[in-house]
Amino acid sequence: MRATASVGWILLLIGLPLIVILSLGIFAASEEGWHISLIFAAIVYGIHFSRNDRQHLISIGYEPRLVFLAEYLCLALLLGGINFLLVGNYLNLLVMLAIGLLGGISPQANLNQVKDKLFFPVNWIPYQCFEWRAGLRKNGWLVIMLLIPGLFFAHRSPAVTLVAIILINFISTSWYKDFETYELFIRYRQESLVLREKIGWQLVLSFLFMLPLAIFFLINFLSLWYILLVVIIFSFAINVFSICYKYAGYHPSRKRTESDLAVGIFSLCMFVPFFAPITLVYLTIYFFRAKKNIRIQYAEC
Amino acid sequence: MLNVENIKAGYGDLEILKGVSFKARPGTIHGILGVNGSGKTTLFRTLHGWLPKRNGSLSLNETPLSPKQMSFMQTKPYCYPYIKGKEYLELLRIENKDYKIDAWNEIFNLPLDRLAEDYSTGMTKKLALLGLLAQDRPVIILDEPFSGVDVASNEKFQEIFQRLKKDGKIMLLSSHLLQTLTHICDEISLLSDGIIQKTFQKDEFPSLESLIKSQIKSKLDAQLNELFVEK
Repeated sequence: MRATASVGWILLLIGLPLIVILSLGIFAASEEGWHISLIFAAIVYGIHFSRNDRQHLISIGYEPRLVFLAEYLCLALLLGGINFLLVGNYLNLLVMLAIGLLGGISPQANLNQVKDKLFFPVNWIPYQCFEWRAGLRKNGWLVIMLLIPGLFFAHRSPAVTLVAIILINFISTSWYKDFETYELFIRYRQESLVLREKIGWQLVLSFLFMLPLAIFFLINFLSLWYILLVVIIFSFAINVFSICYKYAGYHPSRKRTESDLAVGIFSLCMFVPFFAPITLVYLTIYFFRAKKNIRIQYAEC
Repeated sequence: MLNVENIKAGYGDLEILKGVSFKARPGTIHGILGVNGSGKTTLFRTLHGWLPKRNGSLSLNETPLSPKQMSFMQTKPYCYPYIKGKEYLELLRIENKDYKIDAWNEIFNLPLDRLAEDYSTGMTKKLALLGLLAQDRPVIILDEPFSGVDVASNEKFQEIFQRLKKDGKIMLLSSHLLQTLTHICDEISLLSDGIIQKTFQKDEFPSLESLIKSQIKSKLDAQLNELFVEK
């Protein structure tokens, strides 16, 4: 509640339903072929391999696989069904249903056991970007799953690459919900270096991941360069907000931000033309809040 | 000299520290003794800046104390999710490049290429100690450093603390076990009712032990007598 209140109820009450309607409409009305479904697959499998509610479902007497199957099929029916109704494209519906079916019945890997083996190569990332190192270990495979369709099907539709860029940035912002220890937090010589270094590295690394997608996009759809530019700028803004949001609420006795919902709402609202300027105001507010909180945490005892 | 002067702190309306004052000299291990809930961890958190103090002052060599002059090992140390032991130490030695991670790790043989969150309680504590050494700060705060640590590592911890002491560090250490404190500390402050009741020097430790034992025994005797009569 506090998290949503802090990013503004207006964004939540008006922005979110608008975004959902717009996103669903754009997604469902797409006349593109089955490659759009790959993005859907990335979302479904991303959810499937990250969810931690299996034990909870068992404890309340539900068979997890049935619940997962029902959820993924509903999602496939909703998006694929609207797509079918609007443009008569049954291919997307069938592919999405197949993806949902496969997602539901495929076993959930025990990430605690296999995460050591699934490591994304991160040794090239500087130690100070530990959020990226940790995040790529956690969600690296998901990033790859977005990069592959984003690159291989870039020539088919501009939406594929743009959606991949946006989703990769959404994922990277989620890496800023865990607080580091106070020892790690105060390791900088000066408090002013905290935000400067964090934001700087975040922009560099997120740009590196966006770069191949951006190049493929420009090769195929050079005339749409301005859309790519807007997406990159918005992605940077979302990244900066996630860092500011984290450090605005940083406290050594807590392990996580109040909620990652705030960053989610902010991110989604960035893509609604009417709300984009408002979110930039929030970004400014949170930047100064973060600066103030860092100054307090670095202050003399 | 670390000077803790009339520190008051707490959570919400609850004031746990009601004016804690003590001094700790460089090259000494200063123990903080108190029953569960007496405020040892609150005191350490306040000293390290985790918890804002409501009153009082903290100074090191007559200048205000900064969190960057202290290292703090918590009772249950925490690193960061999905981070490897080596990465944690690399981050902490950022201002102390002379610190040799592998050489220090030979003492504990931690699997530094594994995720820190997969470490056992004892291993996490050893990693926290290595991190603390990597920072090389003048004031070291250790909250229950021996809990969850095996016998061999316990000995190693004690030896390292003695070396740090010889190195001129100011060390504050808490423990529930009186014997542990009397064995390792140079002075012990008794924290009770939110204040330091008395600071005992090494030659006064026998009197501290008898005081604690007599206090416990007299109270326990009275309670047991009452309960056994009722029975």
